[in-house]
Amino acid sequence: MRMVSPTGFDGIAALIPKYMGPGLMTNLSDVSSLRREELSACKTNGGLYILRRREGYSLLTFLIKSGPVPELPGTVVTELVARPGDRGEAAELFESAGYHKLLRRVRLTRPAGAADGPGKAVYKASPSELSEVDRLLRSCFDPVTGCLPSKDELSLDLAEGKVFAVSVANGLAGVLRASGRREIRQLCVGEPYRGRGIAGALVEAFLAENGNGRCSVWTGSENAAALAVYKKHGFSADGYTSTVFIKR
Amino acid sequence: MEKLLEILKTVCPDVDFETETDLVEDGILTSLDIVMIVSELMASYDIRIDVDDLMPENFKSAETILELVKRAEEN
Repeated sequence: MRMVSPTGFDGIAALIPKYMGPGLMTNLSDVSSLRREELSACKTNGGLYILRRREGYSLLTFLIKSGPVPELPGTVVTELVARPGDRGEAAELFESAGYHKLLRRVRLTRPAGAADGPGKAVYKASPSELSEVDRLLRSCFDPVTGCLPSKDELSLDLAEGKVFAVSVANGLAGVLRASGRREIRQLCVGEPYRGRGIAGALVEAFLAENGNGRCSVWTGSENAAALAVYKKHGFSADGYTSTVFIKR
Repeated sequence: MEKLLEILKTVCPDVDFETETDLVEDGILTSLDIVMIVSELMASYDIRIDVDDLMPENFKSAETILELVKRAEEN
């Protein structure tokens, strides 16, 4: 293994095509997001390992043709996405390198089709609500596995109208953060306000905004409340799953 | 086009590449699918596709993917 020099997006991006080919195991998805990150990387003959700095750990993006997974510095978290038919070889490589499972997610997809329409209480959160939205998201999602946005990203999403909200007298009761028109990134309702149909109203608002087109969401495979809300609104498992692994 | 459709079907067997015209915007192809498709294209056509080419516009339909392959072959 050796660290890649120079680091930074351009240096690392130039290496990526060298590792692409049949049999590739990767969790590289949104290449453009790498451009905004503080990156380091290391490479072996069989793989390129890109580390994004997070508070207290590194988030790993990998392109692997063959193992083993090398020893990487510090606490490392990575998410393996399995497409339908995948044989789980990447998971085996990480497990044999000492990584263990933190969380399993499933992807749910909703085909295009009419929905009930948004409840009146739902509105688009404004940039002035940044702190409140951030606080609610962080109170509902695990900081390591929750895929939470940075404050800069959230600020941009608020400005672009990608965050739907429901308020009560005391402040925010629930929010839905979308990624584009086709994916829900986070949906959460504060604990005191659960069981009142707020999550469903937020989903309906998102669907209405996007013309009731096909859309998807990743959610915890054991999060019964979330699974029930999505099922009620026409989502069902589409065969994609993911597992978050950690090595301390 | 026939060879391309065969490759695309191998990578994403459930996708109707012959009729869909907005694969990314309609949420049919994910970013991860695109990376896997590019991996197969690079090997099958012996071409190099750069990271900057992994933009959604290039993967809207089988036609736009074929155009990407042709550009890469010319380079």
